[in-house]
Amino acid sequence: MIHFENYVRPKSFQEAYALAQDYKNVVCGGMMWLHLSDARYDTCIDLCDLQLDKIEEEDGYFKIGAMVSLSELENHVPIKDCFGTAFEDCLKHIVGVQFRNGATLGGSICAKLGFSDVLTLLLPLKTRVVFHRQGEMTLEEFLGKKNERDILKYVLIPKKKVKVRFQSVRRTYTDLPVINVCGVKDDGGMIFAVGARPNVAVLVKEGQRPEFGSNRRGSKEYREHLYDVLVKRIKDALEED
Amino acid sequence: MEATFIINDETVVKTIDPDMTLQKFLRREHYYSVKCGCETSNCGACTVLLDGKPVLSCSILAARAAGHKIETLEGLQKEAEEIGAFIADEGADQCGFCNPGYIITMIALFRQDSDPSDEKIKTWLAGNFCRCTGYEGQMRGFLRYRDQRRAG
Repeated sequence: MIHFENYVRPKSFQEAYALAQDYKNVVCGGMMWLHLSDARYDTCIDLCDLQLDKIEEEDGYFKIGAMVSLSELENHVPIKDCFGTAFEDCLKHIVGVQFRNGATLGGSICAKLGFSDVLTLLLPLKTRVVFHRQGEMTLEEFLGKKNERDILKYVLIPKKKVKVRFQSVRRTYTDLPVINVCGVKDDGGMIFAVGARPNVAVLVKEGQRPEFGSNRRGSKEYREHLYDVLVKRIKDALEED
Repeated sequence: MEATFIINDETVVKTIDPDMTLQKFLRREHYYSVKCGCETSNCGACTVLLDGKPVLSCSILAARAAGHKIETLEGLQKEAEEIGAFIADEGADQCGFCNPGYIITMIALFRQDSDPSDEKIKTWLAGNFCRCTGYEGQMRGFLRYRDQRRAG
């Protein structure tokens, strides 16, 4: 169980950023995973007073605050209108409604967890992330670089009606995935992302095959086989639409 | 640190440790309906309502819940009795440990959607575990509760 001596709710991004520069401090989002850690910190920096719990539409993007819960994302009507049931199909497997009411989009992104369904869903949607100091970058770029002690503010998803399909294989309905795949079809063709490889999600480049490995949820060979099956199913579904 | 809490419509000022979970805090304050099942965000036995939404109190800081409306089974007895009777009739309360979490989750669902589909009920129950039964009793009970509400 995580321990810290102090709890602070910064009133500005600058205040949160300044506190986050100290390695003795920790930024908390939903804390669904963080609270399982045995780490000891000096100060917990809670971002809940920074107005990051809204989903807005701005300049052709969905601008989603980092503290928006996964359940808000799952049930957001304009997002459903744009992307169909993909967000719901992805998020409904994450533990339960209670968990998703606490887990945040920002925490799901910054943790860069290999088994994340959220990262696999967002990558092919050309998602961008906005940090306090680093500014804006693609989600792909963020996942590929070393983490800096920065504050994630917003997640931007182009508000463009595209066909999206998300599929995963899991041992039980709400278990961590063995593998997850998301496919998006737009004017430029089809693009895929695969996660729970067991490594963190990646975009699949044309002509390349992602790398897989083994862990207690599945072997490398099993994942390679499942990947081909899920990509085919998603391709067929996207072409059928 | 001192913080103000609104628990079952009662406003109180309490001293908490900064890293205290809402579950530990509520049980310290004698709200024993908030069970300690796993403390790893899995079982749903610790479910409470935070601003009307079911959350896992084992995974939420008491400090974060300060200033928000917290509801436990102790403050929802009338609603809980009604729903609880339906699952009791279906044999879904062997040891009873999971029942508070189930009932709180369903109170939240029926407040939000007075006529949920079977699928929606299943989705909402996915975060509540039961060691004793096979989940069928709970499902039958909640479906009967919904059907009775439909019939008026």
